[in-house]
Order: sequence, then structure tokens, then C-alpha cells
Amino acid sequence: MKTLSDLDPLLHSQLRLAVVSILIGVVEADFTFLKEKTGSTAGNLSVQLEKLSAEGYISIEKSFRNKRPLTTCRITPKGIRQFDNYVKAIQAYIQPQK
Amino acid sequence: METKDNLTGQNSLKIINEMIETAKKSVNDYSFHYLLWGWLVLIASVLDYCLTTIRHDPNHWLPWPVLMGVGGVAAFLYSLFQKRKEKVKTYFETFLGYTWISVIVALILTAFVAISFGYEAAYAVIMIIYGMGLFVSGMTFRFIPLIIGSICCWICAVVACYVTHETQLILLGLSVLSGYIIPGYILKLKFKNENAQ
Repeated sequence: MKTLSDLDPLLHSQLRLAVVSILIGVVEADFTFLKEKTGSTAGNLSVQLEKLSAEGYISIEKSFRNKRPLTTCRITPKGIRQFDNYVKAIQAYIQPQK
Repeated sequence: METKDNLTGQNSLKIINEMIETAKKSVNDYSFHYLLWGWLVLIASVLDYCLTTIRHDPNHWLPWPVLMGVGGVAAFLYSLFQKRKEKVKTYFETFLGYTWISVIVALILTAFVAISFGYEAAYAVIMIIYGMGLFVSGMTFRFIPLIIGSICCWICAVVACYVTHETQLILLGLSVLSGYIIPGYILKLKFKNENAQ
């Protein structure tokens, strides 16, 4: 039987899981959108995005729009795979408890 | 939302569901395009009708290239402006973007066919293509007014096969009124209400 400790530690975190769950359903989203939807602070979100990017779960593109910095995030194939595994693991963990 | 690692399985699933729903609802306001093209085609149809029936002008077709050209430039500039404000790009929007590009290409090609073989049959084909774009958009967003509008376009297309050129223009006006203008205003209102919540 699966335990919670078997889950991917990178995804088993409220904010990182929320970010990846948003990105799984869209082509790309910018930093402001992710901040609005997750209700997180800019600093915290920035740190968590860097962690996800460092492990190759998401890709971050930094550019400028209207002379302002723009951070655009996309989920990577590895991120999709890991998210899929995470959901399966959570389901396997919940199912025997029913 | 803070980063707590003491998530339960149920909480994880709740977050996943909530965020996926949030992303799904994040659709930009596209009513501008429906209203722009709806009004331009309606005005072009009315002008063409008036020039044909009242003035018997041989250049009755002239409102079409002029107004469609204006529409093309306005739509392009508006899209550029909107892109600057875009915070998220969904798969739905990307898919619909390609659908409408194919609709526009099909309409331009139909115009070429009409120039070569006569525009009598072209109006019906134009309404069929309009209807197709509306139907795909309506079904993708599960937006009933667009689906009803697309069916109206197809009905008008069938009727257009059996009537004169002047009546075809009235049908074209009716089809854009039911397929673009009315759903466009409903869409605008819907977007406004959803954003006000």
C-alpha cells in the first residue's frame, strides 16, 4: 500500500502542486496569473517556481512586455509525467481507505 | 497559499481539482470579434441590398472589400493589443484560434471562387463556413447562443440556394444577426458578469 511519504516531495506541497495543476490545463501562464489564482505572495511563488524549474518540471521564460519584465511558465513533458504519477499515487493511497 | 508539506491525500486532490477548474474558466473576452464581424457583414449586406435594389448600381459589391478590409485591419490591431494583456493561453483558445484561421482562409478562397464562377452560390457557402466556425466555438465553450447561431446560419444557407441574390443578402444579414451579433452581446455580458463576481 502507498503511503504519503512515497509521494513526489516536489509536488507534495500546496503551492507547487497548485502551480503545476494550473499549468497542466493551459498552454502557458504568466507570473501574475499564477499569483492571482494561487493567492500566494510574489516572493514565495518566485521561490517555488525556481524549485520546479530547477528539477525540470516547468520551463520559465523571462522577457519584457510594455517595458515591464514578464515571466511566462509552461509545464514540461517531465512535469506532465511526474504530475500524472503523483495523481495515480494519491488515488492509490486514497482508494484502500474507502 | 503557503507551502505546507503536511498535505493529506484528500487535500491534494482538492487543490488539483480547484486549480484545473480555475484554469478552465480563464477564458479571454472574444465578444469584440463576433460583434466587429457581425456588424460589418450586416452593414455590407444592407449596403449591397440598397445599391442593388434602389440604385441598381453595377458596383453594388463595393462595400464588401472595403468593409472586410477595415475589419481585417481592426481585428489584427485589436488582437495585437489583447496579446499584450494576455496572462494565460489555454488549449481551448489555441484550438479555436486555428479553427478561425481556417474559417478565414476558407472564406477568402470562397471569394476567389465567387469571382471566377459567380457569386450566386457563394453566399450559401459563406454561411455554411460561418456556421461551422460558430458551431465549433459554441460546442468547445458549451455556449448555447453560438450553437443556435450556427444552426441559423446553416438554415439560411439552405434557403439561400432557392432565392434571388437580393433575398440572399437579407439571409446573410439575418445569419450574422443570429450567429454573431446576438451571441456577441450575450458573450460580452457573460464575461462582464463573471469578472464582476
